Amino acid sequence: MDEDGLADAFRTGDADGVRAVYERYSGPVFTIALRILGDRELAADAVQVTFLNAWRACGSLDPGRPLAPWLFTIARRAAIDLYRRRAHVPEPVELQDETTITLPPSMEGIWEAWQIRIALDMLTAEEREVVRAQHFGGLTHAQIAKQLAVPVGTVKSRSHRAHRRLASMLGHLAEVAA
Amino acid sequence: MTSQEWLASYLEQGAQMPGMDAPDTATADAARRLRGLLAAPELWTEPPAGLLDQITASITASTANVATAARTARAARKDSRRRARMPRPAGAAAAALLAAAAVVIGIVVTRGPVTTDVDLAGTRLAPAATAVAKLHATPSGLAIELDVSGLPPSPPGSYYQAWMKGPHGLVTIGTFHMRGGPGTVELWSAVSLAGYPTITVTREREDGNPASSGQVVLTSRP
Repeated sequence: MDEDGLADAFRTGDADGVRAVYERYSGPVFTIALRILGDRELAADAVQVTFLNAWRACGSLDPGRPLAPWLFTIARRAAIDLYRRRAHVPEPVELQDETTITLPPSMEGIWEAWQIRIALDMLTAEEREVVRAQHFGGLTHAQIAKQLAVPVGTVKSRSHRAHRRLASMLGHLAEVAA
Repeated sequence: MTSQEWLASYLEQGAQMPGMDAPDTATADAARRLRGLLAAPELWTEPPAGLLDQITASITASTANVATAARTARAARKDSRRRARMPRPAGAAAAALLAAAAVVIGIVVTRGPVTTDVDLAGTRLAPAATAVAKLHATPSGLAIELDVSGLPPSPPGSYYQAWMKGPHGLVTIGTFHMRGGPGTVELWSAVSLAGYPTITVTREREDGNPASSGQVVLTSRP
């Protein structure tokens, strides 16, 4: 389903529409919630609040308005609300200096994480696997090839293709001309 | 090499990319930031399984509550029209009967009829727990009987707190500890189920902080 179809399905408010939007955006919503809150359970709560709030507000989503930025705004607000509530809980930590004070990530960082997660979710499973192993796992192409039991050349071509696709989807964040 | 090709190479190879300068400083900074984010754990973490079921359950419960409220309102309007059409003597007799019945019902069932039942399921923090909230509308607010089972007694220094959640936030509806074993907890709410459709129970510490800990042990489902 394309973005317009997804927005239309969601706008009806029925369970299938919510399911389709969840399948596309639960990953990015969870990513930014986890980035803001740093806690899996609270992030899961934020995901739940986000989709319920979005479902309740779906009538206000104008036709033609893109779904992703609208959902990003709801998700960010939900996570920050939880962050503020948690901030009222006294931490059993004695402040030594100002470096121990934690602040929520910047708006720019949250937006970039959202965009990257969407781009990663649009890669094929094989491309995603290689990119994950390389960046998150810190493995070389040779190590990835061994882990996946495929030739190094296959890993290199998957990696090259995946990074070209990522650059094409994320170029606007790096302010480069396509 | 175009800027986009440069970015693709930088994302793939990082600082090891030989002999190729960034188009400009801003692009280099942004590319470094993007590459750093690719290694962040939250970019690769999936939401917990079962979350979609909880969301669709909450949506179904909200829809059902709205439908129940609409049915009740329709029935009330229909009843009102029928009474208006009733001949006067019969109407008077019926009114007398209704008044008598109201006195009897008022004595026997002080809270009036059960209007809505809401099921709650245990979360990963209390997977064996279940509960049913029976909501009674009263002139003072919602009286809620929460029949709880499978929820362990809260340890000393902690307690359970019940909440109603909606688009406008979170309203607490009472605290309890279950140290006497499974049973019914009486809660009260000043807000309606229509405005605050999700009922949850959290685990709290006795630390004087009124905010929710976010540690949900029970949450509503259809």
